[in-house]
Amino acid sequence: MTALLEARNVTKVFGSGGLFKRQETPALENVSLFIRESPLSITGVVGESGSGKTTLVRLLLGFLAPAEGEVLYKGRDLQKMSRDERLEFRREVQVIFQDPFEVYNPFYKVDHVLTTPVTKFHLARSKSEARKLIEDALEVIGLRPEETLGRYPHQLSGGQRQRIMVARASLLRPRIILADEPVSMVDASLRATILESLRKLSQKFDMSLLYITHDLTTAYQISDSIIVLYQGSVVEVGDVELVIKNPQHPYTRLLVASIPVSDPDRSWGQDSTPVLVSKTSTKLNRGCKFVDRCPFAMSICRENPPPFFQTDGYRAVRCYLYKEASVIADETMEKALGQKG
Amino acid sequence: MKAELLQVRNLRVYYQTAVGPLKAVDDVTFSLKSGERFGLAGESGSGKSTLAFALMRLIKPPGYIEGGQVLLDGGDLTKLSEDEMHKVRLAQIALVPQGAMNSLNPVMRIKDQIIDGIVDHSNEIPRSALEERVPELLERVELGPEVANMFPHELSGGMKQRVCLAIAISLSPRVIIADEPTSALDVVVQRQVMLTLGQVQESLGASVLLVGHDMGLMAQFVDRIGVLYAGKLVEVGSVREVFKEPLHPYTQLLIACLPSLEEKGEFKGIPGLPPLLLNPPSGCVFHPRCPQVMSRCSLEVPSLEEVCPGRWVVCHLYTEVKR
Repeated sequence: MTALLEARNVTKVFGSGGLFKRQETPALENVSLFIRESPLSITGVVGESGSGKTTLVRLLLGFLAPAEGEVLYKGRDLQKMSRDERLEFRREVQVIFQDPFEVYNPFYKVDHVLTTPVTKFHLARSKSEARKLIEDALEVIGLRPEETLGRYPHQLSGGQRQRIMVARASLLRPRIILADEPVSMVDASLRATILESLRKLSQKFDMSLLYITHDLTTAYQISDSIIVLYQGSVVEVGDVELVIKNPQHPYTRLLVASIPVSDPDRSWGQDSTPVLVSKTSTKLNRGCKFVDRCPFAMSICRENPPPFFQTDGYRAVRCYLYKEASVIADETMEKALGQKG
Repeated sequence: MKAELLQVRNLRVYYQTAVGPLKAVDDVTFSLKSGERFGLAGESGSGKSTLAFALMRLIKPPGYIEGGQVLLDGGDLTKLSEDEMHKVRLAQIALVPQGAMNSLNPVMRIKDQIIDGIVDHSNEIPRSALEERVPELLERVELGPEVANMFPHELSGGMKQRVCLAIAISLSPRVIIADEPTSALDVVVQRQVMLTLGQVQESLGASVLLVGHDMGLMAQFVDRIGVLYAGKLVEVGSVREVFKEPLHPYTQLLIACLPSLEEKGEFKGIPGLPPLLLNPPSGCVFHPRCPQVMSRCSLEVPSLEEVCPGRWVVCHLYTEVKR
């Protein structure tokens, strides 16, 4: 199985503080990710704020260089690409950002974000061809071109603006779309519409999708496989049905139990974790990051970071509770799992 | 049957614009019993925050309360003078604002911010007695006493929201209005904060009005729910009944579009867009998007009807049944 986009043991550290009292905060530690060439896959990345989701996106886009490890697209390191390779990468990997308000320049009509990629990548030979291309892209995701084009961003709703970004991404027929919290700023009813259009696009144009979110419910709905991040580390990865229906890592269990289910007859889980009253300690923990909150913490958890234990055919968990299972190396993790589907 | 503590009757809140009034809250009627948790659900732009602010009499121009009553224990808050309302706020009816990050003063210690509200209502309490109350209040919201001397930037989002809650309950109000109190928090923290809010409410015997768009949160927290659409309350009922058998087509679609963790399915959005409040559709405001639209829907404005005990709905589908 060949990889289209791959992160190998990526670590990113942000420095803060002054010249002398420099503090280093790892935003991501030893994260590996694998999006295969074909068939298409939808991968969910879930984690709370501060878990490193956005850092991961920025690394995968080459906006940030990893401190350790490498990010490869079609086997080539993003940081060492030639100009032509980079242009190809920029075309084939598209991104949708979280905030549909900030990505627009308020002085330009919304057409600008659609015509720019057409011109830049020479997608059309004439103006009318370009117009046709843009109109088709808008129609695929359920926007009427006559109601959308020629307007300024402030004249459109958040949901419309976000759908234009989906249309823009699809114009270039990318191989992969990275969607960084694409629906966190829109209402529930529109959320469903946007996610459904992303799913349809992905199938129609054979594009893989990396869906980054804090919302486990939509991640479950859209993804085939899922990666759970906690404070910059992957704690659990695998087939979405296994991870959500039967979470194994204590953090994933807590996360699943915390979701308010829209059914008044289902109780909201049992409160097993203490409320964190003091600040999260910034000092580097040598062992498992979740140890201070974990109800099952053992002494070994404080000493060494747990490796991935392969607990099912399609799932790996970074937790010593499963130390009976076989250990797999981080970088071969997803290959070993073989991505179902 | 518990007494009705807060009654909102035909409340209308408009915003003055160049082309006429924008009806942000239009003829909203509901009531809150003592000790009850009532949820006001609606999407962005449905008027839910405006309504919450109107109950606190915190609407700023160009917004204004056009008409209607807000009865707290029988006394109409809309008739009070600014000074009288000032006394009612925090002491009787308190607000937990939406973004805890932005509602605390960044250069004041937590204890001073908590004391500030109490002093504003009674400046006869000696400083030492006030300082003693701070740890007690912090404990009620499950924060340690060391938080008193901290600044907001030293706290996490969940802790800041707890501080806001501590301020809101500092004078033991009878009604706590929580405007999307956890929308900026993670699910794990959200659940902890909501559990704390529930405990605090029970110990005070207060009522809670939870305003928000998260139907899951509503299902888990409130006893009764009201659904707002384009400034109008379209359905009110006990949360179990509304989720089990939503009556209004909008509520039906809203509940159907919630993704579940049970089984995978297609995402179903609500077709169409919310109406422009400056130029709302004729008749029922939902008729252009309604899958069960009838000819009279675009002509007549439906009224709030009690279809069965405790279940109110604004929809022609049910006015017909009744007649």
